[in-house]
Amino acid sequence: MEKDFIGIDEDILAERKRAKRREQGVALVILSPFVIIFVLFCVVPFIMGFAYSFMRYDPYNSDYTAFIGFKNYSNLFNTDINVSKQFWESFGPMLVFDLVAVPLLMIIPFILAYFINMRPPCYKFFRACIYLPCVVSISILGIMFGEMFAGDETGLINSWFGTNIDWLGGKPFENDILRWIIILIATIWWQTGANFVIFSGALRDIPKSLYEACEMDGGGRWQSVIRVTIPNMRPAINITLFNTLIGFLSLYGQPYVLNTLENQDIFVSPMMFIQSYLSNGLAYAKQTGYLCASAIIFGLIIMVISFVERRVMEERHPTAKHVAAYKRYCDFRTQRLEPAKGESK
Amino acid sequence: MQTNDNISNEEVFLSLKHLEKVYPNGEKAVYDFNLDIAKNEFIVIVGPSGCGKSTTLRMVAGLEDITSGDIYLGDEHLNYKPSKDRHMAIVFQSYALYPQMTVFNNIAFPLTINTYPAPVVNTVLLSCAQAKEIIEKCGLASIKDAIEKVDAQKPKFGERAENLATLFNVVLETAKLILKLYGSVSADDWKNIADKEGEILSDWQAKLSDAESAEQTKITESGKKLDGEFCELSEDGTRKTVQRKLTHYEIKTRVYETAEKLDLAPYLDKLPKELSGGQMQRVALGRAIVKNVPIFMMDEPLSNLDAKLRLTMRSEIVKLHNRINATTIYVTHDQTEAMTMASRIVVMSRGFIQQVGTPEEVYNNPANIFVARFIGSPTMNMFEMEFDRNEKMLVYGDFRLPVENGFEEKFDKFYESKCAEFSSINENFDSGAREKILKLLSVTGEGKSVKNNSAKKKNFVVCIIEFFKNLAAKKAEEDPWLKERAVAAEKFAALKAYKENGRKVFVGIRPERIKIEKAEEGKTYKGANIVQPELTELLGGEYNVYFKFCGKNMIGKIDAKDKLGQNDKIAVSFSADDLFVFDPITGDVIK
Amino acid sequence: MNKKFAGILCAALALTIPLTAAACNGGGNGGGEWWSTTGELEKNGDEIVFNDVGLRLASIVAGADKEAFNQIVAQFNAEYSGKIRVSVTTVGYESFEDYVARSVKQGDKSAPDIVMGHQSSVKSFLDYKVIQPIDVVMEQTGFDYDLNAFSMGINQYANAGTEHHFGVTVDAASMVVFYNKELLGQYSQAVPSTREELFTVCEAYANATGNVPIAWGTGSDFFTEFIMNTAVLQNGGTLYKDDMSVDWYDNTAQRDVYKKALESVRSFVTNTPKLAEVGGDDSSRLGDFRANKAMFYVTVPWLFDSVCQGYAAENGCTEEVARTEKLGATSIAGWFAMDSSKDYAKKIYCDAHMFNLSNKVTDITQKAACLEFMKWFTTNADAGTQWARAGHVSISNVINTKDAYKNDAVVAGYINKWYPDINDLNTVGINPYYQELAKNLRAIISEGLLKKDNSGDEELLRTKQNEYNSNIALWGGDL
Repeated sequence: MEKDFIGIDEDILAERKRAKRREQGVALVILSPFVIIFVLFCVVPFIMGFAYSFMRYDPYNSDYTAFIGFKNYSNLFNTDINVSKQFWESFGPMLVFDLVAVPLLMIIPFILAYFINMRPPCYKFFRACIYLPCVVSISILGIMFGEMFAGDETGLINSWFGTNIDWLGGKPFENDILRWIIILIATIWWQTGANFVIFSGALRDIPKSLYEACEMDGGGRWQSVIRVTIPNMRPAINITLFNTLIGFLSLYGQPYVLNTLENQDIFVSPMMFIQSYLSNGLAYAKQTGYLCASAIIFGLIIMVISFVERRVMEERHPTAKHVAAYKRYCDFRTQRLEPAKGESK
Repeated sequence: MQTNDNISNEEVFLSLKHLEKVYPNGEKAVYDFNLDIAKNEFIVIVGPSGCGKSTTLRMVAGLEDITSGDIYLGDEHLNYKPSKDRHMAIVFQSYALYPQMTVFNNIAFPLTINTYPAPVVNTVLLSCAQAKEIIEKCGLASIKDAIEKVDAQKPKFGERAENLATLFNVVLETAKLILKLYGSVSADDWKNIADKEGEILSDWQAKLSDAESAEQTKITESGKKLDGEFCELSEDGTRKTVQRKLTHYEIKTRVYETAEKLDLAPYLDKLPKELSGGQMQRVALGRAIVKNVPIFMMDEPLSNLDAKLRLTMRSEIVKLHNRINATTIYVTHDQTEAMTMASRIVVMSRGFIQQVGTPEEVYNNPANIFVARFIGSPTMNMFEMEFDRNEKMLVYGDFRLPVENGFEEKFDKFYESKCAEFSSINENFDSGAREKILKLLSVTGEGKSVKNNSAKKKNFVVCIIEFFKNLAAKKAEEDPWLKERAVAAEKFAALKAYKENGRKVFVGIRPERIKIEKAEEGKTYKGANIVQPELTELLGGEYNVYFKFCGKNMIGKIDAKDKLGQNDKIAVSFSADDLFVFDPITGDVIK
Repeated sequence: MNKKFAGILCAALALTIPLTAAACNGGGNGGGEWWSTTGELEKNGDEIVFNDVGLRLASIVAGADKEAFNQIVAQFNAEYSGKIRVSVTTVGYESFEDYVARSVKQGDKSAPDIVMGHQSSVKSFLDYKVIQPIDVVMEQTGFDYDLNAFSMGINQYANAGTEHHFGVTVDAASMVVFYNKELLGQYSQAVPSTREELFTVCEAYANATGNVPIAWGTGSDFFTEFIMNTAVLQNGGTLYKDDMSVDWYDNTAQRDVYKKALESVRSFVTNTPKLAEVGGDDSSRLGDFRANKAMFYVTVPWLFDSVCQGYAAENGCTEEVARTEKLGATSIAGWFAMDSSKDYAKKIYCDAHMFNLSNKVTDITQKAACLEFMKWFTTNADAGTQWARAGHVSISNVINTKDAYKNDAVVAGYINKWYPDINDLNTVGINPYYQELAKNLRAIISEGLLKKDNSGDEELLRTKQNEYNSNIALWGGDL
């Protein structure tokens, strides 16, 4: 330590450094439980899975383990293999469902939050009603809706209306539109609360003077929603869209519990594919590497989609077009030729 | 409750009559607000926080419901009209700029979503006439040059016609017509312009005449009437107007105009979060003035700016007001702004108007103690003295001040009328009387406004309990006006006493009116008191001098030419003309 | 910031490598024998002395019969108290194989000694060297136990294709039939035992009353697996070839068999008058049976109590009366055989449980104790009776010949009627891809039943056969 610091003791500086390190140490200690668990249960398994995807791996037979490079991936992309075809086909129904469900799961909570924000009478009760289904687990959802929409005359809905509609049956892209509608209704009932809460909070933070300015400028209700409410909720919309999208890309629980014999073996989402073969019998153990590869590919696709979503939702900086246009306007105005008579604006 | 008797009926532009605002919980924010505003006035409503000035402004703008009273704009009754139909624009304290829009879009926003009245112009005839003029005046070559100049800038689709219209200063349709004519001539012909000029010109003239005559026949068939500028006329000969949205070009030009007026042209592309406070303020102003409405309202627009910026923006706002010939209502708590900017000041306190008048009037003739102390910086000095009828002097200890002539009569007359007023108040204590008492309390600053019992927020359980309690006890209903009645009685008694032998008065004098000289050793100062200042503040060109006089702390001013040391004494004197005498009971000025 | 991230990554990798290595190390020693024996056996004359031997049993029985199984084990513990003590861990069927394989391979302390799983897992367990042969233990200990005194149809798989004996088959369960004694009595003297007799009775009933005589729910996993496979067996087909692939379409004889099998089930539905419905599951069809509309009710045997109770409740009698007087039992043997004269016409496809000795056990006394438990379970008449009442018929010849078992009311009245000859019972055998098999056969019958005629059957067989063959090519590691 140089003696440039007149009057400051070396000891004091050292003591300060020690104190700072102590503080950092305390921070590390507090962080450690989460970090350890995260590393042990997320990072390490991921790395292992990634490694296995390049290997021929059988968890119960070490002699079988061998490095085979990209063989698993080439198998996965070879749609002549029926199992790989099933994997790729499983993306279809899930993506179609997501295209419908994700916007609905943004718009419906927003509308509900908007109206609850107007504080109608008994609004606290409605708020609780909207959020409560979130605490229910997916199994309960399956039992409830499975019983309600059971396909024969004894299902609750069928016996109530005297119909005999096979609600949950059908094959993807052929005749299972009812099944997806049921899954959609169940999901909306179940998950609206989460986004609703976030939107509610965001709505309250919008300064009232913006609404008044819009009112004074002549904007009606619709204008105030488009110009004031939604643009000021940008952070909330960002986070809910991201979470909802990622959550729906890993669709698994709903089609797993809401199905009939006809389609219970048809994978309508990649997660169903992976879950039904991984640790589900020694017969599938030899291709653990292949399943790891499929999980890696699935993860990559989710990453790509979320990356695209982030780019689309980024705040775009406005181009400098107005200033440039104004310059041109000024130029032309100064170069104005003879002003014509009889102009009226 | 001074009204404005200096405005004649013909000049009244915006008229606020008996405006009152009562909130749902029973709290009354504005009492009987009366004001007539003439065109081009700059009205400043000034008062401490919570005095009801913002509420009044928002009532006029339509952002708050009017409990009672009327607003007239000329003959239009504005009470139930929505904000956008009131021909008003407002600038908020927090600017309220739309954060996701650029400055250009913020200013353009009112233009894009509203319809505006415009005359119904027959564009075909107008554009043909203007095109003919241009061809005549400018000639083919310069038209060609002009179009090439526009094209050189590589304009986007719509901009080509727009830029040409700017260049020729014509309407957009004319520019489009010229471009069409230009396009009808092949490139080769343009090269041989010298030879083909006559051909091209006659061709164009023919096309224009054809179009004109075709349009004319259509017009005569439909029976419409057009005036000299090709605007449609209605039956009684006035121009027909139609509500329409502005075109992109019209919006652009108006926004550019406004931006130029406010020096915002370099910032047109910036988002509000990239602007400084002053720039945001100007954008808010721009958004207001682009609407071309007659009335502007500003709700403490300068309070978020730093001191230096405030000074510049003050003058900017006034200059802007003059330039666009607007009528402005301005709300602030800063009396300096009020004094420097206003054509007339409205001083408010606790919901009551204390005084309305020009800055000179309010400064030199305050109506009561509140106005006197609120206006003027540093605050007016206020101290107690006794009025000695025999000596016809104001007395405090040894200090004596002669009163002006006729003061005694004024004094007696004042208290007689006050007594009469208060005796009628006490006899007939209705809601009007109660409001008078509240006004009095707002002047003297005594006691916070009494809340009604009903103002207490009750929840369901408390309601039930109280209901049963009331039933059981069969209590006589508590008088909600108890306090005011007590005040009324008290004041009446005091006034009566004063009528007989009133003595104490409050005397006020402005700091700059106190004659202060540096007291040098050995010199005598006639009629002055020598005091030791407690504190001197050097403002640069003058001193604020703090000293004790008549038992009160006073402030005076003295030129800083002579330096005032710590131990220097000062000679203090003032004349009776500069004094204001206030009644300590009601706070009104005795004159 | 970057350094810290790199540091975490390094730490993660450092953790990964040993873990991966450890996972790879949980394994057996190369070829040859993978089991080992330690310790000395203590004998008292001819009897082996067990002194407080603790055994762990992993059981796949997790449904309504779990209670019954635990009670039987408790009974064993009571009988052998001080000598052998068995504690049961119940694992769900989805993760059973993985759990057993993993715990045994990793040498977990809590790995099971006795494995009570489905017979279908034996090949997989053998391939992964999770289990060890029982006959070797018997030789080593001189244990007296006849490993062949079991149902022929099921026990043929106990050697898993090798010369050793790898499992003790315990019980079997398939679809069973209840019938309404009164209704049947009106239309037939005896209970129908061939397909023709069944059709005669049912058509007569349907024509007379207009009701659907057979109540079954085609919408359950059990129906699709048991009925389809039974139909195939009763028409002389096999489920798969020796190399585990299938030839349902390619082999013309098999194709014929499968078409016949499908038609034999479908004909119940397409017959005029209709003899059975499509769709629904067991619980939804029970209503018809309880209301005395259906004459026969095809269901799973562990719903026995609820069927009796339900019928009793609906018809205002006690469960006892319902069980003994109102309802009767018959089997699906012969129902789907197009040619009743063949000897395979009576075959019934079932699900069977099997005891295995896990590879974890090395001490000879422990191995003997495991054997003792298995022997007790498959020779003790009381255990057999209780287990049968829970819905699993004992396929041990020893138990089946004991009077205490034979004469038990439920066994005599129902169990033995449901499974007339235990040697006719068949299971899936030694195909490790039984799940794929089940999936595709399930698809065949559920789609086949949805059609009104057999025009699409060949295409169905072809696609499902190819799907299965393609799938097992991947899962077998050949690709």
